[in-house]
Formats: sequence, structure tokens, C-alpha cells
Amino acid sequence: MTRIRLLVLALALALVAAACGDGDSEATTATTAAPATTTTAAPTTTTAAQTTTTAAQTTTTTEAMEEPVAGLAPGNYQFGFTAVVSGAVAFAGVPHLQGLQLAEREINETGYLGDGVTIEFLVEDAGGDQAAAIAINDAYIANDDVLALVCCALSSVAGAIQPNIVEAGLAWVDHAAIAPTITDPDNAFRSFPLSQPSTAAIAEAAVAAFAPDNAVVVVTADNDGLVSDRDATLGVLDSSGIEVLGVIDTFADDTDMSGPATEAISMGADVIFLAQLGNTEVLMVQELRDRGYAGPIVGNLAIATAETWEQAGDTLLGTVLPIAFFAGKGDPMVQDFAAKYEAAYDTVPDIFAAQGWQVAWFMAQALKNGGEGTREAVLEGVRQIQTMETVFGTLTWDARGEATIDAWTFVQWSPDGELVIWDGSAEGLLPNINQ
Amino acid sequence: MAFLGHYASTVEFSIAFALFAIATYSALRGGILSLAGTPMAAVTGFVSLALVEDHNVPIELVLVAGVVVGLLSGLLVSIPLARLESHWVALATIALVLMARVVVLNLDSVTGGVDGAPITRMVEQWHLFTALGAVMWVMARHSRSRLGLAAEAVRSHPDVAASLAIDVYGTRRSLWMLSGAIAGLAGVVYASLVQFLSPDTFYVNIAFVMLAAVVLGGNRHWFGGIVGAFVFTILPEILRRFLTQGETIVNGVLLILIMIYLPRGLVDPTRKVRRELKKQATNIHSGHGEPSAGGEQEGEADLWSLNLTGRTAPEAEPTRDRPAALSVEGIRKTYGGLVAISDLTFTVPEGSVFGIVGPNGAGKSTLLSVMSGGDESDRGKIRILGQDMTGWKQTDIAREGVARTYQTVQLFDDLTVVENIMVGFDRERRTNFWDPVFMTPRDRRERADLAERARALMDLVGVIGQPDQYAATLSYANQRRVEIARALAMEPSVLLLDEPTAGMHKLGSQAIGELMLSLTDRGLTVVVIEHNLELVLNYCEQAIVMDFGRLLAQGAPADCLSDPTVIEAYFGRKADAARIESLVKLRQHSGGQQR
Amino acid sequence: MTLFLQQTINGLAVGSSYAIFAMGFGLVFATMGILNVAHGTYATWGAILALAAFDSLGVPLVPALAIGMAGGGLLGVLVDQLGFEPIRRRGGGLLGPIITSIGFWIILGQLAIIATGARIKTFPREALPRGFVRIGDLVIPYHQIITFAVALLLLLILYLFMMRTNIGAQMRAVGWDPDSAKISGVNPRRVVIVISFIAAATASVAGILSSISTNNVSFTVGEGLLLKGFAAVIIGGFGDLRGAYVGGILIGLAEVLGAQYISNSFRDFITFGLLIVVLLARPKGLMGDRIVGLRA
Repeated sequence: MTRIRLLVLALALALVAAACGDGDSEATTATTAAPATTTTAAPTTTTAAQTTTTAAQTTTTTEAMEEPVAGLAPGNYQFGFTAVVSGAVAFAGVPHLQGLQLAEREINETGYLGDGVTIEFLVEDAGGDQAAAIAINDAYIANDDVLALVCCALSSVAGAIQPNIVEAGLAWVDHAAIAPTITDPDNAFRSFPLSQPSTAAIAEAAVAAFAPDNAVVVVTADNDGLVSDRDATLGVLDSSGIEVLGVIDTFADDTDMSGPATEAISMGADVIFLAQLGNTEVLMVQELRDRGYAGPIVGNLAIATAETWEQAGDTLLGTVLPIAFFAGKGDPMVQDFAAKYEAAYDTVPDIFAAQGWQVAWFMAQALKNGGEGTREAVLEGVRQIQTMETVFGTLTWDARGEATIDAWTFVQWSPDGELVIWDGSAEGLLPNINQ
Repeated sequence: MAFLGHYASTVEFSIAFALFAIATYSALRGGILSLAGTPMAAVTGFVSLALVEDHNVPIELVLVAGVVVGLLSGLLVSIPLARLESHWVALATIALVLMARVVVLNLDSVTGGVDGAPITRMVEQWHLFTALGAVMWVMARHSRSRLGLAAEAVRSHPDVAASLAIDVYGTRRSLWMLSGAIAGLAGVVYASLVQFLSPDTFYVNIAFVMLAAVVLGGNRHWFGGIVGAFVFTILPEILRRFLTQGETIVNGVLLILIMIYLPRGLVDPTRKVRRELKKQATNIHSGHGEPSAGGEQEGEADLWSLNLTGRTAPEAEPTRDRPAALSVEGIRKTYGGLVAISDLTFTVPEGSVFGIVGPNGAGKSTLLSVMSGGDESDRGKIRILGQDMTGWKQTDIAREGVARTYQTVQLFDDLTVVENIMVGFDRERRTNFWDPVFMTPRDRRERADLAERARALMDLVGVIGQPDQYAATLSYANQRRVEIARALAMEPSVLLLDEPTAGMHKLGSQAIGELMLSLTDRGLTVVVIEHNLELVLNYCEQAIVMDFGRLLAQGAPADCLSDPTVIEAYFGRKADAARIESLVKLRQHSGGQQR
Repeated sequence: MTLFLQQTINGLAVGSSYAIFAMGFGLVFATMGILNVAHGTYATWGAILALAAFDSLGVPLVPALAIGMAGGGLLGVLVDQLGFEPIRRRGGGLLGPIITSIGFWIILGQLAIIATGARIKTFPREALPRGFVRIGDLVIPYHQIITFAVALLLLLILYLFMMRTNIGAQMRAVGWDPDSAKISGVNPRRVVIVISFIAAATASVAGILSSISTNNVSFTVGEGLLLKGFAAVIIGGFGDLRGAYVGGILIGLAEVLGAQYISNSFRDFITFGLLIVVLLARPKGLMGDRIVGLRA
């Protein structure tokens, strides 16, 4: 009996190991099988043309204008990546990792960095735990082969690893956490655009388009990013003189939105703004529409994934959201990425997959700019990145290492389940099921 | 400190988790399964945030503040929760963990709310090692201190602890405070190490580690938590070399395997002893090998083998001339619909051996329980030593000098023989929490003294065995003797014995009888439940006979037992009646001869 | 008034799903003394298995749900026999099973992440019952009605099962006193297996219902239920199925009405504060003492 039990446990363990390993190999084969769509001219460019704001950067950009790739000797260049593939944040962490590894293979197979030059992201799972993340990154810092660090899906983890990295002085690129305190001109950068400007932008657009007298805001109160989104929205509403009838708190692990939806509807607002996490926002939109709310809803990227339509269908009509990335975007770079991702993982890439993909290219670009496999060179290389054509659009970095996007796209779902552009007018809003 | 290399942060976090684990252990050793260390650490973590960032308080002071604030929050939490039994404490503290997060989210002016707040690392490694060292010192010094023994007693048998005049509630409160102080320290240390506090910093993760580390490392020794914390922090580091996604699962499997195969964890001071006991048990089962660790296996005394050479009870002085040590007036006790004791009235004269006799299920043990305060009667009065103690708490009755033993032996298995007996001295011990920590002469003297007296008591009751062997390794009969010694350690005025000779052979039983008589010489009153009628006849001055909770007869044992209703009810069959008659006659005969 | 009624209906529906979960959770706690942290993962796996049967095997919806429920139940039996049985044999305690169940919680949770790729899976929308009943201004979605009805039905079935069948009587006997039950001819192991199955299958029902009302099958399904189910069991009293049911409904109402009329941001504080108050005032739960059923 005892032996059998031990055996079963061992078997379970083996299955798990197999499952992990399996996923990887499957993905690899799938990628090689994927149609080798163009090695489009380097998807990233270092332009010195952008106006620079600091003196220090002016000099480095001048250098960058000369051919930076020349110096990169053949070899394997390593970066340390802190993943979140277990725990509650795995819904973001798993696509992060998949996007990152897809880009890693792409970069290496296409010889993007030159003959014999490969990059490798060392991957450790912190499961969203601060202590584990600190240990992982300290080990990376102590490992001289690690040229730079990529971390964080959570602001609390980013805050925890920050001091040691700042002290160590190597480059750190944040691929998903949104705390405003992360970036630092010395060595901390963000590879993706923050959403708060877009939240404010779409709030302004909504105010202009729908001319509401009042509004209700629903927020996931235990998520810092969404609380800042809420504040961005409230700021716009306040300055536009629109009455806020109420702010409704929901929580990340809520499974039911019937109560908050009823409350929101009962307030009789002209527009409802949602700043919620993942599935809770999908549920909220569903409940609002099912319960007869006919006004416009302003949401966020939580309802922009392919699964969202499967889940909520036509209840999504009449909701607008700002987005930097969506797989249906006409941009060839996005098309290329979406096709490869779908071939590799059998699912449409979401914003998190795009963040993972983007940061890998960002690091490759930094390495290329730096021209040699040292931490100093890579740090220098990151600093040199001023603009980049990405799946999010054209990103521009400011002196603090913060990325901004040239223009946010506002989208809405169409009745046939595609994300389509919303032109920012009341007429351009497709009718919802209650109209 | 360079010597730790790039494992520095792993070791540092191990220390923080070790502190958390010890906090759990401190409560758990008193039977309190608490996760409240997490919210307590949250309190001190955020206090340290304010002290460090807003007031520039030196870290040494912040650490002290952490201990103090932790201690106070332990006290605060203990006020409602120390009343709850262990299961419910676990549930309530889980709720506290969840509630703490809501508070952190909403108190954003202090905590930074959902955004969290960075905190500058102020602790150096020497602070960590000093903090852990200090805590280890306190734990080691208290492993067998007055508090340590009381905690052990409260954990394994709270009722027995109360019957030994140990303040169960007070002991638990002390442990809550100790646990809180350590958790508070851990909170400051952890906050300083993570350098960023968010609502999820002190949440389920910490609660999980503080519990799992103790379970993995061992929950019967303070060192276990430290071992567990280090294993839990370092193992994933090692596993990461082989796995990218599976290591959390490995943690899960590890926990399950530990619970199944090493339920007491990696550090288990009694493992060797237990293994030997188990081996012996199997040997006895399979019919060979030495019987028991004590080397003495006593068969059930033969009730009817007549040996009347023992010393006899002093002939009764007239009862009414002597004050009653204990009087029971109209006691009634029911469980559900079942009447366990029905309107019982009797008086036990001071300085006598008083027998309670009756068939199984007659309500004898219930009666003993009611007399010692372990159970509350539905109505009626109990007077002990002239005081009305009806409805008193067990501890208070014990403090007034009532000690008892149990029908099934209730020793503290994780303590040695001497330590078991020393638990009985708790009432007279004067050392406080700090005495053992600072190794004061008073502490040393008290320990030496009491150990000496405990050994003397061992001799007095005739325990065959080593003073420092685990009580569980003694034979059943010797465990009974230790229990009597433990009761005597309280220096009681009234001693209630529940079948003290069960499992003893004739000579052993007689020795107990002798002991009872010698105790009455010292002025003790002994009330004894006994199936061995011979013992009752020989050594009891008076007795009552019970059946179905009712009093059948009372008076001198010989009179009681020859009462026809007693013979009918108690023995039922005629043959037995004949035997008891002959027994009584013989007893009178031999008694006469002696005089 | 409409708002109040509407929110009360919402509270009843949410509470019903907590109640379903709590009944199984409480049953295990009451009869075996196991505070099973892994109980939530049965809900998750019930939903995942139902979807897998529907998607991969092409089983129609209702049988697929039944498969999910049975699969979840079997998982519960497996966990019990692998993890809890050895500890039970040794003579238990509270700590051992909690830790073991934490182990299974980690394992099953992580396996659910791997199985779903950490993504939200959905049933085809057309397969699910959609639409709502309107009574005046009140809007009651079908899924709320279904959840409410299933909870009541399960309560009734389980209650009758416990009270009227032989095996139910044996389950109660084991709850009272495993040793005496053994003496009177009950096969405790068989009873334990039946209890584990029923409890885990009930959790699966809660998971499946929650996933079809929100059309969301993901690794997080069971987590929300676990904490609320836990609170429901304590507040209602787990000695009795009806206690767990009432506790679930109470928590649902307290959450929804508390959020509407008191404070949204302190919602969980209210729920778990209530739990502690009940623990202190009535350790056996609001309905714990009064009802003959299972022992605390």
C-alpha cells in the first residue's frame, strides 16, 4: 500500500515534469514548422533623429548612428528573466514567457544579431513572491554571464528587487509591471507603454463623444495599475466637470459581478467606466448588458483578448477601449507575430504575449547597440534605444526610461467578433444589444 | 558579508522565515494552531515603515519596537482567541490573515494602499544573526522551563494541566505574547529584506511558509522550524537548476510525503524512543522479545486471591467528630438524557482513605470529575476543606489543594519522568519569564531543587525507571505511579485517585495501599475509585458503593460490601455474592487477629 | 425597493453557489475533521473536466457536466486515499490533514495552470442557457435561477441521503464516533470514500455552475469559492448540511447587500469579521447546536 502510494506520487511528479518539458518541445517544433514569413528588415531601428532631452544621451546617440552591430562577437549572450508561471498571476506570466521564448527562438534562428550570435533568457519562476524574486535576481546579479535583467509582472515584486539591482548597476528592463517608481535613468527601463495616458485619452474622447452629465467608475480595488487607471479617469471627469455618481470597488478574485452591476445600473449613469482586471471586467460588461444597461461602456485591454469574445459574445458590443496591441491589427509586424504565436501555441496572442515578445526584441536591440557582451555595454545599449517599431506601434523612450506610444488606438468589438477601430465619435459606436 | 556569496539573500530570507516558523512553534507548543503571526508581522512591518522612512529611527530601536508591538498585538489577539479551542483558533486566525489585507488596502495613508510602499533596507546581516541567535537562546532556555513544561502540559492535555493548578488561559496568553513578539520581530526583519511592502507582502504566502516550515522541520522542538525554514527556502533554489515550472509542485509533494512518512518532521527529539517502542510493540504482538521498556509487566490483579497480610486501615474514629475534607450534597449530573449521577450525598472525613466502588458505568469517574472541577454538576453542592467550591474552575479547585489521577493514564508523552512530575510543582514555582533567559541563580536553584524533589517522589511512589527516560516508555503500571507522583507534587490536601492499581500485580497494589495510608498519616485525605475490593477492604476507612449514578450503600467497607442490595446490584450472580461474603468474613477475621 | 429586491436576488444566487460548495466542504470537516484546503481545486477540476469532455470528446453538454462532476468526485477520493488515509490511520489531528491538503492544493492548482495554459477557456456560448426572466423591473438571469434551484435540490437530496439511507446513517455514525461506528459493523473506509466522493462532486457542481454562469473555465474557479465556502461553513455550522446551506446564503446576502449599502472596499473584512464573531459567540455555528445531524 505504502509503496503504491509512493509510486503514484512519483508518477504524478513525472507527469508534471513531462507536461512541462512537453510544452516546450511542442512549441519548438511548431515554430520551426511555422511559415518563415520574411525576416522583415530589422523590426527595430535605432534612430538618432529623435530629439534627445539630456546631454548624456546626445553623445551616445551620436555613437549609435555609426554601425553598432559590428562589434558583437559570436557566442551565446545571457539575460536573466524572472517568470511568473505559478500562482494567481500565471494568467499573465504564462503568455509573457511564451512570447519571450518565441522571440528568443526567432532572433536566434534568423541570425538577427549576426552569425553565431545567440541570446538566451535564463528563466526562473518566482510565482509572484517577493522573497523568491529577490533570491532569483541576486543569483542573476552574482552570475557574471548574465548581462541584464528582465523582470516583473507585479509592481510589488518590482519594488522588492529594485534596490539590489540599482546597487549592482546592471540594466533592468521591466516588461509588465506598472508602478511609476520603477524607471530610473541610471539603469531601470520599461519596454512597454504604460496604460494611464491611454486611459486618460479615451476618457477625454468619451467625454467629447457622448457628452455625459454623469458617470460611474468601477475598479479592481486591489490592483495598483487599475487603481491608477481609475485615478486617471477620475481626473479627466473632474476637469471636464462631469459628476461622478459613484466609484464601485471590486476585487481581483471575485467570481460574480451581479451585485456591482446592479449597483452601477441603479445609479443611472450616462457612461460607465471600467478599470478592472481580466475576467472580472468581462463579467461586468456581460452583467451590465444582460441587465439592460444601454449606455456606452469604456473599458480596458482586459476585454480585448480572443477568449473574451468566446466568453461574452455580443454583450461586448458598445464598449470602447484603448489598446496598444491587438492581434487583429493590420500592422504587418503584428500580423507576423500573431501568426507565429498561433502556430507555436495554438492560441491568439494577447497583450501579455506581446509584452513578452516585445521585451525580447528590446533586449536584442540593446545588445546589438552595445556591441559587446558586457553589462556596461548592454546598459549603454539600452540607453541608446530612443524609438522602436514594435507590435505596440512606434514607441519612444524619454529620459527616465519610460516608453510612450505615438498614438493609442481606440477599438470596439464588431458583431462578427473582430476588434475594429472606434473613431472617437458617438456615431461611430456600434449599437449594443439593448439598443 | 561576503562569505555567503550569492546565496546571501537566500540565507537572509531563511532567517526571516525561521523567525516566522519559531513564532508559529511558540504558539503551537501550547496547542494553539495559529496563523496570526502573519497579520502581527504586517502590523510591525508597517510600523517599521513609518519609523524608518518618516522618523529615521535607528534600526536597532525599530527591531525592539517590533518585538514590543508584536507582543502587544499577541496580547490583544489572545483576549478573544485564547478562549477558543485549537481547531477554532486555526479558523479564526485564517480569517485574521484575510482581514488584515483589507485593512492594509484601505489604510493607504499609512500603508501605501494598493500601490505599496518602498522601505529602505536597514538591517545588516549581523542584525539578522543576532536576532535569530537571541530568539534561539530564549527558545532553548524555555524548552524545559516553567513556561515550557506548562505549555507542554496545556498542549497535550489541557484538562490535566488545569487539574495540576496550571493556569491554562494564562499559559496560552503567555505563548500568544511570545509568539507575537517573535512574529513582530520577523515582520520588521522581513519588511527590511523585501524593501517593498504591498498588501500581498504579509499574506497567504507567509502564512503558508510559517506553517509548512514548522511541519516540515518538526513541531516538537524549537529547532525544527529553523530547519524547515532553511529547507523551504533553499530547496527551490536547488530545484530551479532542474525544473522551470515544476518546483512548486515539488513543494506540494514534499509536504505530503513529510506528513505521511515523517509526521513529526525532520527534527524529532523522541524519534529514537518511539521507534524502539514500536519495535517492542511489534515484538510483543508477535509473541517474543522483552515485554516493555520498564522491564516490568504486571498482570491484572486477581480480585479474589486473598492476601490479607497487609497493613489495615486504622479503625474509624467516630466520623462526626472529625471535620469533613470533602462533602457532596445532592449532586446530579446528566449528559443529554443520560443520568450519570443522581442526587448523591456523602462526606469524606479528613485524613482518611475513602473508597468509591461500583460496576463499570456506575458514574464513579464522572463523580471524580465533578469533584475536581473537570465537569460541572447540574445541581447540588460540593464542599472541599470547608469551602463551597460548587461551580469553581478546575484550576482554582486544584490551587486549593485538590489533586487527581485518571482512569486512563494522562501523562505528557514528550516529557521525561522527572519533567512530568515537575509539572505538578507549577503552583509553587516563583520564576518568571526572564529568569531562565538570564540564567538567574534563582532559576538554577529552583530547577535543581524541584528535580531533586521529583526524584524523591519517584522513590516514594515506587516508580521503577530512570528519571530522564520518556514517560511513554514506562510500563503501564509505572506510568500510573508517575501520575500519582505528579499529583503529589502539588502537595495536595485531597487526593483523588481513579483506579490507581489497574494493571498492577498484587504486591504493587498493596504498595499503593500502603502509600495511601502513609499519606493519610501526613494529613492527606485520599479518595480512591477501586475495582480491587481487597484493597478497599484493607485500606479504606469508609466507602460508598454506586450503581447507575445512585448511592447503594455507604459506611465502613465491610458493611457496605455485605449490604444485600450491593451484593445484588453489584455482583448480580449468587456465586459472586457468596464469594464476597466469604471475603468480608475473612477480612473481619484477619483484622481481628491483627488486633 | 426594486434595487433592494434585485440585490437580494443577486445575494441569494451568489450565496447558493457558496452554499453548494460549503455543503461538501462542511461534510468532510464534520465527519472526518479535515479542513481541506484543496477542496477549491475540485471545483476547478470539475469545470475543466466537464469542458474537456464537451470539447475533446464531443459529449453533449449535460452528460459532459455529469462527467465533470464525477471526475471531480473521483479526484476527491484519490486525494483522500493517497493523502488523508495514511494520516487518518495514524490518528490524525488537525494539523496533519491541513498540511497535506495544502500540498494537494499546490499540486492540483499548478496542474490546472498547466492544463489550461493559464488561460480562460470557454464553452461555446450557444451551448449555455442564456436569457433572463423579467418580473416588473426585476431581471433574473437563467443562470441565477439554475444555481439557486440546484443548491436547494442538492440540499434536499443530500439531506435525504444522510437521513434516509443506510450509508447515510453510517456516515453520520462515523461523524459521531469513528471507533464506535467500526464496532457496530460500519466499514469506515468505505464510508470515507463515499463521503470524499460526494463532497468533491458537490464542489465540482459549484465549480461547474460558476463556470457556466460566467462562461469562464480557468484555474482560478475554485479559489474564490474556497474562502467563501470556508466562511459559510463556520458561520452556518458544519455539523449539519442545512447549516452550511444557510451559512452560504447568509454570506452571499451579506456580501452583496453589504457592498450595496455599507461599504464595498471592506466587504471581505465584514465577511471574515462575521466569521470571528460567530466563532466566539457560537463556536458550533449559528445552526450548530440545534439540529440533529452530524456532530461538530
